[in-house]
Amino acid sequence: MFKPAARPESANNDTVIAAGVKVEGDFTSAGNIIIDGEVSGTLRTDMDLVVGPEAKITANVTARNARIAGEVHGNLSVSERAELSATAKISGDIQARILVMEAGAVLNGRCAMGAEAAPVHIPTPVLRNRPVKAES
Amino acid sequence: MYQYVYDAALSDKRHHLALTAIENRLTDLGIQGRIDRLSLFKNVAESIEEGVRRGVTTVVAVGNDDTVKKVMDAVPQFAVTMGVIPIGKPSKIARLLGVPEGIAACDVLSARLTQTLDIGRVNGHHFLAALSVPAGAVTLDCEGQYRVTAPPRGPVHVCNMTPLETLLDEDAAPIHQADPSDGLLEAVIPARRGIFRSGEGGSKTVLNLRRLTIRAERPFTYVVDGRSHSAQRAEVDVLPGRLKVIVGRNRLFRVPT
Repeated sequence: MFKPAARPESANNDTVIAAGVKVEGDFTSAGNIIIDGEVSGTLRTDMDLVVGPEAKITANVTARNARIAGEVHGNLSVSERAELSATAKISGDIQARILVMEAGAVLNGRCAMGAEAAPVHIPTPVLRNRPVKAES
Repeated sequence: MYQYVYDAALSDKRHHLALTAIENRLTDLGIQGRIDRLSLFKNVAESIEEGVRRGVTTVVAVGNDDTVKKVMDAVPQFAVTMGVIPIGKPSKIARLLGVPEGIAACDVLSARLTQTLDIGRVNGHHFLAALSVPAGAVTLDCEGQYRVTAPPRGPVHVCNMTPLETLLDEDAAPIHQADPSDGLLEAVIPARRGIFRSGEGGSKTVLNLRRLTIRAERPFTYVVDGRSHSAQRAEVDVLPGRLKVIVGRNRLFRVPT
């Protein structure tokens, strides 16, 4: 079910946040997103999201598919399939059509599944960050 | 009609023979044209504008990378095709475009294989390959929506293609190969390397962007297509499909079809 080697190779239009890099603000991408660093604010993609075991996300997350192995503080709204691996720690609500949890995954929050699941309320603006304004 | 923009350094006697041979070859190929010689007080954009008024459709930079950059700064505002005849060093941009040095470049011009490429812009100046910040604690304000903090002392690259320094160095590992026709720049932050690790420490950060601002608390040095500049703030954006350029078969980039 959970294959460590199943992580997709990043394609040319994928967005990758590597370990040691911090992102703050409204982070949106039309392509796949792979995160091993830190993200705070909001995180949204029309495609797939992969969160590595060292990643720390303090954000509300929207994606088509999500595979999570790191920490997420915020609500997850996944339109298709959400996978939580053994190292995943979620503090927030999850809404997904399909939810797969590996033994050891931690979920502290409400969960709604299936096609008719009520969408998780994702307030905006979120958490502590606002869109970045240019400094003079 | 062709317009040839000669670098100021080409008035030196040592280039006389090469220039004569090139001009003869251009005449043989039927692509001779108007000649403008750059000088301290000559504005490249005004020369090209004057040429365009007289029917010029192709502007050729004759000289080294500095000549190409001067022409490239002016060309996107006109509906003309750019060509290159490399004479003198450095001529890395010509190598990137697959144009050989000297008289052989005339045949590439004559073959007229063109490609339409995006062009990057940093603080008002255009670049073709990449912008690199070799070192410095910089922050990237991306698309006016989010901020990326890079690890201190690490390099940051903003690629339209790939940095010239590594592209042309066979011993250097390629940093990144971006698509110069996708309407996007790619900001690349290489993976961290541990003190006791010589190899890659993991995956690199890659962000697809249309505009960003690079800033730091202190002025930082950045390298644009091989030339160094210094600033405390660099405004970067992409001009999609704004450069139509004549390329050779041996060009060092690939545009997806």
